[in-house]
Amino acid sequence: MKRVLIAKNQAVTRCVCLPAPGNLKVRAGETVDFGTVIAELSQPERFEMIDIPSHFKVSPEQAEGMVKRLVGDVLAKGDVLAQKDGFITQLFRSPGSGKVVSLREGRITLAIGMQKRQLLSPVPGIVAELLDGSGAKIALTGSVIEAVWANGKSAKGELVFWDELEKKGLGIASASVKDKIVAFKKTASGGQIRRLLRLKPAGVVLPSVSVKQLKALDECDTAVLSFLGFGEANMDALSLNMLEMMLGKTVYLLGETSINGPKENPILIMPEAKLPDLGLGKEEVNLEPGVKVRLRGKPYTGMVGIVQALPEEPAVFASGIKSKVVVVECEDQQVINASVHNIDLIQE
Amino acid sequence: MSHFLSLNLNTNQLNSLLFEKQTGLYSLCGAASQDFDLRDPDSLMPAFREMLQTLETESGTTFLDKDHRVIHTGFDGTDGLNAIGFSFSAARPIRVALIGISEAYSLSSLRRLVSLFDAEVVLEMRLQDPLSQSQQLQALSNADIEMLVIAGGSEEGASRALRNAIENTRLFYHIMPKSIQPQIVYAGNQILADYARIEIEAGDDFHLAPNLRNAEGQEDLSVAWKAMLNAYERVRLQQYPQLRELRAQLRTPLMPASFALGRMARFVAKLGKAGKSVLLADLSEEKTTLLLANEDGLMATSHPNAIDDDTLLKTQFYCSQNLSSLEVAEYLHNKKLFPQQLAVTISDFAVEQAWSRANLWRGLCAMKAVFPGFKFDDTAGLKEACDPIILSGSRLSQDLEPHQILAVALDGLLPHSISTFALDEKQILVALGALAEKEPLLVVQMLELESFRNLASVVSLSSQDYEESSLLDLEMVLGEEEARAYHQVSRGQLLKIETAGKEDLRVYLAPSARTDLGMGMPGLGGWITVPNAELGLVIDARERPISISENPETRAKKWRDWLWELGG
Repeated sequence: MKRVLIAKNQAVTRCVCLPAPGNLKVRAGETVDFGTVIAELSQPERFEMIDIPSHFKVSPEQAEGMVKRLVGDVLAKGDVLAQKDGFITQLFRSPGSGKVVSLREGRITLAIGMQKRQLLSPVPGIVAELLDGSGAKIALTGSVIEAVWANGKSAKGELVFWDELEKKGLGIASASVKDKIVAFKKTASGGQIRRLLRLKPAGVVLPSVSVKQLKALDECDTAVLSFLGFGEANMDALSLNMLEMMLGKTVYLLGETSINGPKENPILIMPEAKLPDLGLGKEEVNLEPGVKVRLRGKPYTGMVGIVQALPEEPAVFASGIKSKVVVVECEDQQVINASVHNIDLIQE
Repeated sequence: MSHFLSLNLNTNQLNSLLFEKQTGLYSLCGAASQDFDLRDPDSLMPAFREMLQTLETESGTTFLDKDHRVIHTGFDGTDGLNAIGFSFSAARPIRVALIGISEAYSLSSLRRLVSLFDAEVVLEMRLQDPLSQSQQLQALSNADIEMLVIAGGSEEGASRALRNAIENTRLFYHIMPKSIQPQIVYAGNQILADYARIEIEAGDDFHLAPNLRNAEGQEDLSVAWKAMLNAYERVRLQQYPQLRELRAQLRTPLMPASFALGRMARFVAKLGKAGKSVLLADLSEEKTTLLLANEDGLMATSHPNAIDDDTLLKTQFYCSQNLSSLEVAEYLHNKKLFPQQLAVTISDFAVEQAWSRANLWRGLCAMKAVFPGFKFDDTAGLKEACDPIILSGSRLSQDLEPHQILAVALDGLLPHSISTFALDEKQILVALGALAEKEPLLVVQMLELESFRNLASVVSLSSQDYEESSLLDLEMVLGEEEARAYHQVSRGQLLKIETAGKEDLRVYLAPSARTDLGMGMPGLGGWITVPNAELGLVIDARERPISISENPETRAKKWRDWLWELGG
């Protein structure tokens, strides 16, 4: 059964990882802020193989005697790599700063330049665990809304509602959006999204993403997340309440996922000045009468209700498929028989 | 009594089948599934133990000791497992780079080799191309690969380019920081094999295989399977370190489910009729695997069910409801987020079935790209006579009625000739394939049993003149006492004839002069015996390529009509 977290004072952990092991810059138990360097990875910018025998027109054996470097030597641009003595001494110089990584039969392989990749903390918190030299698990406490899709980017900013800004009617000034996290209460149109992205927000929070806009949102530099998935749906009532509580405060949109780390859904979190309790002792909600659920699938996507009953007998749906159902009473008193596969249990 | 366990893992489910042997006879004595999350390191072992406990209850035998470790027979008393097969079918592909001398003699062979091992080819290097050694090394460094397969060169041929590639491999292996230490499979010029091993210095990450081309230049991919299996396992154990504990307990190597299926495809092909191929199609939520075996060898392809423009268009084309491409895309993207979501509306269910058809079609296209000898046309469908066609996977075995499964297979594959369609509901072929090496008799006996659901016998016509009033006349012998039944099949018809529980129904097929039933030549017919099947005998007289209106409403109705013909 899928669970979705929409909760206050919730302990959360996030794994942040480099694509390969690097140098860790933090220690377990250390407090980190948004943007703190967690780890660094250095790798050569490019490789260059220099064939000394063909440059000096000598045999590989002769060339070996002309090479003036050893494997591991660090070089500056212009340093001599090989020298051929004679009436006029010929020199071969390094084409860039780097390191000799291989010497074979007069051929020199250089690793030139160093690319440094830094892994930054996307959220303030405490380093709960170090992950094999490639990153760390950050723990924090806060008000959390779990999402189902993000474009792989994270952001920090003050939360504002687009709908409120639009109501003012005089056009939206860049300053009221720039570097902020902008939430939509309803499905955003293509025009609204384009207009918003031009104003350079730090992040965008959507109830759902139209498939038409998926490519643009997936590839844009702004962090984007969706609470309900794809299609046209309005923000569900619980998420909306939580967003209203976050309004005007600094929130963090965590949309990065690591292919090698554990699966983590994107979240929107507003940290609280409390020590994280790592969730120990919190009871996991189970499917039973009285619990809150959110429905998935047209035409109910995003509707929130309370489970009234769990009939033993499976029901047959319009498609002809049989499934166990839950009887859910929604906020508008509508009673819906939903398949157990098409609901999310809400963990509050 | 002996027990044999076959265990298969996908991204969110452990599936197992338990076989027992008693007085020389094998039988399936238990099946269990357990949900887990492959990306949650802590969920695998509890799920495995819970699953084994279920099997203990079903079989009345103890498989776990007091420390919850697997009991292997002969280790701890009389209970336990005599042999275990361990396969893996999660969708995450292995990122592979291929290095070969030429396109025709090495790279094309390498593509065929890796197609059986869940590979996604992310880099290909033709050593005949004018790439400098620096550029080659740069390309290797940028590709983020998990496996590198090198082939090429004849035993006494030129070796300089291959030597340079080996040197680059060494540099790449030792210099670049990586989260997964790449596995290197060398299947090239054997004169350089020792040089490659010593030069690359990759220890257990180096896997040596004989040359893919023998002295006569003939391709034999099977010589490299052992090396590929070792490399495959080492990559998977790095991708998912939590598998190591399970691997240690099972004491058996992990293999791709596609490889296990490949074993069975070859086995069934050997048992089958000469001149016909065996086609296995496995459609899971995550990926589609197709294998075709015949006397010439094995073809395989496996690809994640990715949503791209081509497949979206094809899904919309196959949809039996008139839906826009946006509606189709929306459903599929949501389904990707929530794979367990049930298609409760008619529209959603239509998209589900159309998506399966589109993935079969894409799988066949992918197979054609890697195996140019495969007889398939992307509009006219299969041109290879396949019998049997065995279907499996959650996308087919869950939620669909037999006629819906058959419709998906017929529309997606567009078969040719006479084929028996069977459903491997319990994924027994993967299980047997994983155990085949350890208990060959199990495979032989279980395939003799009624392990599959026989869906239908299908006669697919192809005609040089679809305008003929009758393409095929049928005469059916219903019983010695009963009158014979006659049918006439014309263009575009999909005719279902129920066998109504009759075993071995005799049917005479008389095609028109220009209609081919795959019996040797157009116009040639004859008697066939139709075994009892859930849907009976189906005659598919639809044109190849299928002739269908471009009007979306009419087209959707036509798909519904054909589905109706098969069972409503």
